Amino acid sequence: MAAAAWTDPSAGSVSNEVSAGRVLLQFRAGRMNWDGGRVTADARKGRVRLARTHEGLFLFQWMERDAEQVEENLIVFPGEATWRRVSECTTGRVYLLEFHTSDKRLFFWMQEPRVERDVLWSRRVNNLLEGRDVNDGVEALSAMAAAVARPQPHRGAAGATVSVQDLQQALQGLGHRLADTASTATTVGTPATEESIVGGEGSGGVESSRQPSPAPTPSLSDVLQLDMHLEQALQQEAVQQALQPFLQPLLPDGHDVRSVLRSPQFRQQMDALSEALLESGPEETAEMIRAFDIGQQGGGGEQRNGLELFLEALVRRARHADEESRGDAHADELGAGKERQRRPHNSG
Amino acid sequence: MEDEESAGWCTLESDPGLFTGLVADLGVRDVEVNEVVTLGDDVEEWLQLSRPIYGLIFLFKHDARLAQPSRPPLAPDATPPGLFFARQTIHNACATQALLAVLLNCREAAEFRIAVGERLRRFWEFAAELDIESRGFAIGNDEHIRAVHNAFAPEKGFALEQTEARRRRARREDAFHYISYVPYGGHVYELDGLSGGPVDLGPSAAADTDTPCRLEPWLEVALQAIRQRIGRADGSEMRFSLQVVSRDPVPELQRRAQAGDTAAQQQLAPHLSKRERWERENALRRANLVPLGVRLLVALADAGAIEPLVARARERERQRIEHARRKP
Repeated sequence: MAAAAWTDPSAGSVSNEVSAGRVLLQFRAGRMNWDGGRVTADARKGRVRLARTHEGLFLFQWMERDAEQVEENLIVFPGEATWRRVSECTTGRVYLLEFHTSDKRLFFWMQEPRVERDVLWSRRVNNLLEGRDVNDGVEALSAMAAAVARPQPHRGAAGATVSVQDLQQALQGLGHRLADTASTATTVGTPATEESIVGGEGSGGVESSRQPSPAPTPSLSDVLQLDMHLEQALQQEAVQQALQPFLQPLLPDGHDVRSVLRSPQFRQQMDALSEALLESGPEETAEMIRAFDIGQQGGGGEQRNGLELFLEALVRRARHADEESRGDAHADELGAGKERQRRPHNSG
Repeated sequence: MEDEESAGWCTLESDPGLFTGLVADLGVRDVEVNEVVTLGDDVEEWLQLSRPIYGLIFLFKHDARLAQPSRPPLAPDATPPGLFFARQTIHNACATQALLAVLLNCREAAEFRIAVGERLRRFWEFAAELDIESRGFAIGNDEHIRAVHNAFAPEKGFALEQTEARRRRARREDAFHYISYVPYGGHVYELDGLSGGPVDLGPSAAADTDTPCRLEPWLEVALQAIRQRIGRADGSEMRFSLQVVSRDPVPELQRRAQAGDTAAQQQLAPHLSKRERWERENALRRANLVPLGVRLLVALADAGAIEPLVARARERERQRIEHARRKP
C-alpha cells in the first residue's frame, strides 16, 4: 500500500510524500534540546512527521516547518517508544518521545494552534507507535475534547499558542526540577536519568501516592453524593463563585445543581466516567486529567488505578490552591505548604 | 471502530416519559406511553388509561425460557398483508423498534388510526416492500429514526476505547427483550423482532379466560399471552415491565377545559404535571452531565472542600464492601 502511495503521480504536493514512503501523520511542533539538566526550546517553527518507508519501516521525523530537509530521522519499531506529555511543564505544551529500549529521549513543544486538540495528536502518535490504526479511539476522545472545551472564564486566552518566551520561562523552572529530581532520585545504581521527570516519585505527589492506596476507591458519583457535607460545601461562596460562570450552559433545562446531583442520570454518567477511569492506564488517565484541565497527574501511577489517580489529582489541586491562596496573603513567607491548614469556610 | 451490534445506536432506558418523547420526536401526534404495574388483574389501573389503547410493549430481562414465542411464528406468505413486522438486527434499537411495531400497525386500521407523520409514513412505504430481515436493516440505517433515538442519550463525552470486556458487560446489562402486542385486522399479534415472524394469537374476542371480559377483548387476549409467558419463569425472580401505548388525553382535555369544562380542568392538572416531570427527566437524559460533574469537582477542589468529601466517599465505599462481605 505504501508503495502504491508514493509512486502515485497524483499524490501531488511534495509534503505529502517522503522520498522513501508515505506520510502517516504530520503536525506542527518545535523541537527542544535537553543537555541532561536543562531543557531549552528551539524557537524555530517545525513539524513532526510520522511516515512509513516502502520497506515497511516506521520513521519519526522532525524538520523545519517549510523545509524538506529532515533534521531528526529515527526508525521506530512497534511498541518501542511512547509519546507523552511532560506534565511538569504546566504552561508549555511539552511532549517527550521516550524509547523503552534505550536512553534516547526527544523533547518537543506543540505549535498547533488549538491546544484542546493536543490530546488527539497525542493519541494518534501513540496509535502509530503501538501499531494501531492512526485514528483508533480518536473520535471518542474528540467528543470529550469538545465537551470540555467550553469557555473557561477564570483562565486567560485558553487555546492561544504559548509564546517562546512563556515557554522558556516555564522551562527554566522545569530544568531546575529535572536536575533536582535527577540528583535526588532514590533508585540506587541507576544513573540519574530523567526517570523521574515524568511521573517520578519526587515530583510532588501527595503522600498517599507513595504506595498503593489501602482504602477502596469510591465512584465520583459517591464523592458528589448530595449529603449534608456536600450541601455545606455548595453553600460556600468560593464554590459558588467558581461554579457560577459556566453553570448555566452546562445545566439541562429546568434544572439546578441540586436537582442534577440528585438525579439517577447524573449518578449513572459519573459512574460510567469512574468505570472508564478505573480501567484506564496511567497514560490514558493523564490525558483525561489534562483534557478536563484539572492539573497534573502525580507520580508512580503504575501501581494504582486511573480513578485513584484522578482523585489524587483533584486533592493535589486543592492543596495547590490552598498554598497559592496563602502564598498570596503572605507573599514573602517561605515554606508555604508545610502545615496543612484549611482555608476558613464561609458559611454563607 | 464501530461495534457491529450497536452500529451507532445508544442504549436507552425503558421509561414511559422517554418513550412518549421518542414517539413525539418521530413525528407521531397525540400518543402517550404509560407503564402499568398489573397484568390486568387490577382493572382500575387499566381503566384509568386513556382510550384507545394502540398496543402493549412487554419487556423483560432476557431469559431463554421466556424468550420462546407463544406459538410458532407465521411464515411470510401466511402473514396478513400490511402487518408490519421487522427482524431486529440492531441490538440497541430494540425499544425504538418495539414502538415502531405498534405505531406502524395502527397507522390505518379504522378504529386505531393514528397520524404517524410524513417521515414514518414514507419509511413505511419504503420498508413495506422489503422482507422482514431487510426491514430490520432499514430501521438500523434510517438516519432520522436513529438521530431521534440517540438524542435521548448524551453523546459519549468521555468514552475510551471499547474494550472487549466493556462490550460484553454492556451486552449483558442491556439484554432486555422487547415484545409488542397489537390488534390488527380482527386478530391479536405478538411481534418479537428476535423471532422468525409475527405470531397470531387468534381472534380479538376469543380470550381463553374464566373471568368475564372487563377490558377490551383484544387486550384480554394479549394479557393472557403475557401471563402465560411469565408463568414459564416458575416464580423465579425476574424483571419485567409492561408499557401501554395509547391516545394522549391532554389535547382533548385542554380543549374541554378551555371551553369551561371544570371536570376537564381538574383532570388536566395531574397530566400536565406528569408531562413537566417527563420533560425535565428527558432533559437530564439528553444532557452530557460529565462536564458539569467535573467542573463541580474542580470548584470544590479550588475551594478546599474536596478532601473531606473524598474521605467520606472512601469510608462509605469501605462500609459497603464490608457489608457485602458479611452477607453470605
